[in-house]
Amino acid sequence: MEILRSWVQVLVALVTNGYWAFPFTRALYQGPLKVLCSPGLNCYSCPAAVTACPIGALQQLLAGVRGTMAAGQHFYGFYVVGSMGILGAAFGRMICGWACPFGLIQEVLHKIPSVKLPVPGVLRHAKYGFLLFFVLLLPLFAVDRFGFGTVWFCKYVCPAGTLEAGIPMLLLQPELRKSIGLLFWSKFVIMIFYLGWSVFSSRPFCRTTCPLGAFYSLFNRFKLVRLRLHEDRCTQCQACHHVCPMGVKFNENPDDRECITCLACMSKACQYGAISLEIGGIPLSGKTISAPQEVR
Amino acid sequence: MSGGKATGTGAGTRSTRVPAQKARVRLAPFLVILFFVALFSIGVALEEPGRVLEQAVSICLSCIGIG
Repeated sequence: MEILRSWVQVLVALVTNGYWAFPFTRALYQGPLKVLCSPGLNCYSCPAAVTACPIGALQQLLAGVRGTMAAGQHFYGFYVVGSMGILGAAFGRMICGWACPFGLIQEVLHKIPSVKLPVPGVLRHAKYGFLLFFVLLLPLFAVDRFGFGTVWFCKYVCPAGTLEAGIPMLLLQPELRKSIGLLFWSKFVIMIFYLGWSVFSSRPFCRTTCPLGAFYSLFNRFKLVRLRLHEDRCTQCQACHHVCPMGVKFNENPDDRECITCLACMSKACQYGAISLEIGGIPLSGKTISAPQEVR
Repeated sequence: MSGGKATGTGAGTRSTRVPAQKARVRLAPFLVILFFVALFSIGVALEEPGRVLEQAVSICLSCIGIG
């Protein structure tokens, strides 16, 4: 299952970054596919990107909402939130585990042999702050005298943008290099921080900072595809605790918002068939063992 | 094998913490999806996709830290 997930991650990363002519054109993909929102965090200023980053697109729409209203247009972000919500309600944070290029990068870095450290649990709440303030409120309300906001998360935080777009674009378009200033270097340090942290801790950006992961996590109780705990089969052996890359204690909280449905607990840990995958309430898979007696 | 019965039944965890029972189709995900399909459709009706495309085909200097 882990191998399948790795292949899916690579495939999605290649498909959402499928404009491989960029080394020759030295420009972004400008075709119609960019109207679609990517499922994971994938900067649309990445020269290979063929889809739009939903977090970037939403901030752009909110930052320009006054300007577009003045022009008689009404762009409030329904299309982007609708796209994110459809994916979130169907898959929740499974997208983080299976379809996010920046999640894949963090996973690869975490394979580097080193001391492995947990991510402090309290930091998991920070990502909701980034979603609320940096993606929604600040772009909408912190506006200049002309009524235009800015893309706060992209501009001041997003390490995916620096890695996938900033550095490649500076390499492709040397004339941009003269614009480098404090802002770029501060984002560069942030990127190095998260990439370095990924070596020691599993998916630190996803767990503490990612606003898209925070949004998808809101669906963990209502999503269509999710893991299910069969309480009658669980022996409380806690094997699922040890394999979870997100620090979820699945047998204690099967609806944990951190669960990325990577299926490691189901396929690698649980020997008792206590965890299965379900779609809309219908069990899809899981280890089949002889059904135990109902305990109630 | 089933001797260690799970004990927690908090409201926040009840939905996927299930004792042996028949599979039943959950309606909630479909309703939530329907809600977001409606939002998506409103956005399309307001011609937001065109705006998204317009933004996404140009380099966002702010996004890459040099704007």
